[in-house]
Parts: sequence; C-alpha cells; structure tokens
Amino acid sequence: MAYIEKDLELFPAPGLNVIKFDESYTHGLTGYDMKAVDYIIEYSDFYVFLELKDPDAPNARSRNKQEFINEFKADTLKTSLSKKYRDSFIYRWAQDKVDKPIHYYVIVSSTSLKNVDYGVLTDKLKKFLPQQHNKAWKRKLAAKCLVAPIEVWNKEFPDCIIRRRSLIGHD
Amino acid sequence: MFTRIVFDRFTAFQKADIVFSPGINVLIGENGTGKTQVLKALYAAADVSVTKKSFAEKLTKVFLPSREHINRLVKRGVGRGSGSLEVFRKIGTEELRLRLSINSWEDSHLKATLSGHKKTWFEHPVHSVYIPVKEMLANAPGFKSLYETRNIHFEEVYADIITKALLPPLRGPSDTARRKITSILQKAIDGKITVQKEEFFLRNKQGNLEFTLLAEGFRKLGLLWTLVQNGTLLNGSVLFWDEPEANLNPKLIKTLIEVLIELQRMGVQVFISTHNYTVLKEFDLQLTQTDKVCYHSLYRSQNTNEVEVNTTDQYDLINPNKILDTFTDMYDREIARSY
Repeated sequence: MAYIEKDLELFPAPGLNVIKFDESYTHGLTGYDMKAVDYIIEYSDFYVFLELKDPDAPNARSRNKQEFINEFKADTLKTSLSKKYRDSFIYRWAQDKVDKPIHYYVIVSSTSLKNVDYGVLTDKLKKFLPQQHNKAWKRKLAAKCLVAPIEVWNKEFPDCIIRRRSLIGHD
Repeated sequence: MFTRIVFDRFTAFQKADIVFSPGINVLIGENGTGKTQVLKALYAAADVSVTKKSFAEKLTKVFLPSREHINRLVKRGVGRGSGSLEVFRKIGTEELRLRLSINSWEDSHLKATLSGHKKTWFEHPVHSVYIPVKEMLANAPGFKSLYETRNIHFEEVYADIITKALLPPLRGPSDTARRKITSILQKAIDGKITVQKEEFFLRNKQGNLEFTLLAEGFRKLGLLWTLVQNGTLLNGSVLFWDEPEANLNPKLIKTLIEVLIELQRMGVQVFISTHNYTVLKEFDLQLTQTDKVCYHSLYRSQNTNEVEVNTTDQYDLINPNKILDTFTDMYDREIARSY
C-alpha cells in the first residue's frame, strides 16, 4: 500500500508498520495546538518520525509567492519542525510508545538545494529541537536528526522508498 | 594546561571570564569580538614561562600597539583607569595565576604590575607555538636576523613561528602518536619538509620544491609537520592557531581537523579561532565522546554592545552561532531566488 502526500508517495514493503500520524483518526489533537509529524514508521530497534516537505511539487508555487517562500525559510522550518517532533514525542509518550530510540527525518524535495543547505538545515533543527541539552539530560531527545533529500532517504530505507507521483504516471 | 582567562578593561573586553577545555578550544565570533586577542594573551603568558622574559614586554611585542605603548591595550573608556588580564593554568592539581595590571596613563611596559604565582609560573615552562593568519615560512630566509637586528614593524608572533619551525628534528625514533600525525600530513602534502639555510622546501619524488612556489595550503600543513617533527608540539605543549582555514582548500580542512584532534589526543592543548563553517562542522563530525572540546562564542551584547562569551562543549549548543546564521541566510536567499 502506498501512502500519498500530495505529489509524493511513500511505498513501504509489506509488513512494515507505517502510521499516517498527521490525521484526525490517528492523532486528532491539532485543535489543542498539538502538531504531528506526517508518518511514524516502526523498525525492530527504532522508530522513524518522518516529515515530508515538497517545495518542488508541481502545484506548490501556484499560491502566493511570498507566503510560499516564508513557509520554507530556515526559521519557519526550524519552528514548525521542532514543534511537530516535540508534540509527536509527547503524544507517543502518553501512548507509552517511546520504548525505542526515535530517528527524525525531514525530507525536503528541492532541486535547488545543495548538500550544504541540507547540512545547515540539519544543524539548525538539531540546535532548536533541541536534540540534546547540557549534562542535565541523560539522553538525546531524538537519537538521530537529519534533513535530507529524497535520494538519501531512499538509499537508507530501500524498504520504504519515496517516489514522485507525477514522474511515475500519476497526476 | 590553561584553564581560564579573565579580562577587565583589556583590548576589546570590558569584562570577560573564559574557562577552557584541556583539549581543543574553538573560538568563534564576528570580526572585532577579540578572538585573536585571547590567543595572543595566552601565548604571551606561555612564552614567557620558557624565555623568562617580562610578560608585559612580550604582550607589547605580540600585540604591537602603536609606538609599543602598552597602555593602548587598556580598553578605551571615559577618564583614567586600569585594565588587567589574569591567566590561569594547571600544573598537576595546582592552579597557577598570573595577573598583569596596566594603567591607562602609563605607556611603558615597565610600569605594568605583575602579580600572582610569579615564581612558580616561571619555574614551570609550558612550551607553545602560535601560528598567525599570514603564512611566514616562505619568507623565512633572513627574516629572523632582520627582526633581531632592525626595528621592523611585525608582531613578534611572526618571528617566533619562524624560529620554532627552524628548530632541528628531534633525535631518536618518534612515538606512535607522532608517527600517526606525521603520516597523515605526509599523505596530504605528498612529501616531507626540509630546510636549507633557513629556506623551506617540500621534498618528494619530483625533488625539492621551494615554499615560495608551493600552494599556501600545503605550506600550512608542512609547517604543522615540521612542528610535530621537531618536538615543538609534544604532550603538554599548547598550539594557538589563528584562522587555520585561511588559504586552505576545503578538502584539506578535513585533514587539518583530523590532525588537530590527534594532537589533542596526544596531550597538546589546542586553541583556534575560526570563521569557517567547514572547520566547525568537521569538529562536530570527527570528535568522539572521549575527546575534550569547548566552543567559545564571542559576541556583542545587544543591550550593552560589550563583548560577551558563551562556552559549551556541544556543537549543537553553540550560541550564538554566527557562522551557521550566515549559511542559514544563504539558504533563505537560495529559496527566495529559486521559487
């Protein structure tokens, strides 16, 4: 089964436990100002919190240009992505589902961005998540945190690849 | 090992108190926030412990204020006043302190007042080397004697680095740690450094290439090779390096940071200043849990406009991180341009 996120789709191998988390039936607390990551994927020894950002989506630029640019500015991403992670973490904690390390992946699909841009966004997100604090914290809030393009994700998770729908014949 | 420095109305600092890592210390901050001044002050304090010269005079030679008036190092303010710096270092379990107080109305270094553990400080030399931003080895022939005999306007760090690079290699076999470092460097520069009549050469299969014809990045790594080879950088010594990234290809920065981390593992205390994202990121990527590091972020307070310092041992917690902010700004502009 493929999970569709506008022009992107997540195509997990059979048996892989994927939760579409940012939905009223799985989460339902957005009315309480709790944000949610797009997907939670369960592996044997860790969870992946996955957020998909797609500025290259065919229809993405049809809306107000400045609004669009503001959405993808580093500071906006930093604020929204850290809140999504933290709120999802709290939700899962209340479900008693923080029983494995969590890896946070933010996939930004943009042909304009270079490796250094992804590196900068990763640093920025780690800093403000925050992934770790001073010595008072005994563990990291996220065991791993990475902002990356689709290709990096697909290489790391060949059992759960992301595809662009418009390139494989879907509109 | 230096443990701390305290400034009170000294150069760029109104008041500052910085606690150091016994391993690597990375100073970041915009121009004019005093990074180089921290390195120079510590270097002067280390150097006099070996030469037994006057700390006030060494500071004057290293900072080179106009007409060598030491009172120009006192932070400018309203009316007369004094400035001071206080340097702390640890020998075993004992912490030594050396304090220099300078009056703003007295220009001679002879009038500055030295206090603290003066006797013990000079009885326990700490060997150090200061690598300035500008590469000097290519200009070595004759420079040392010229500096010693004529009053030429160069900060003393330039003469000092040449003197230290010209020391002959240590006798006997080198230990594993030194061999590891020299082999990393030899691989990067594809050869070894030789000296003939104060002139530096890179020797490899093609023959001898004089430093003036060698890319500046290779000269820098060659200098490091020389300092390890001749024992200037040994366990217990201190390396100060102002903007090591200058003229270095980003590809070589990985090697440079690898060597700095290895030096730290060998017991060398390292101080560098940087404006470079690659340098900072390489530390983040290459350092392990057992390595010792502190990042010192120097910045001007929005309220007082005075320089303040935040220290952390974690890359993610560097605050403010002006280098990352600059790259973030470039990312934002790329997004604005592309969409």
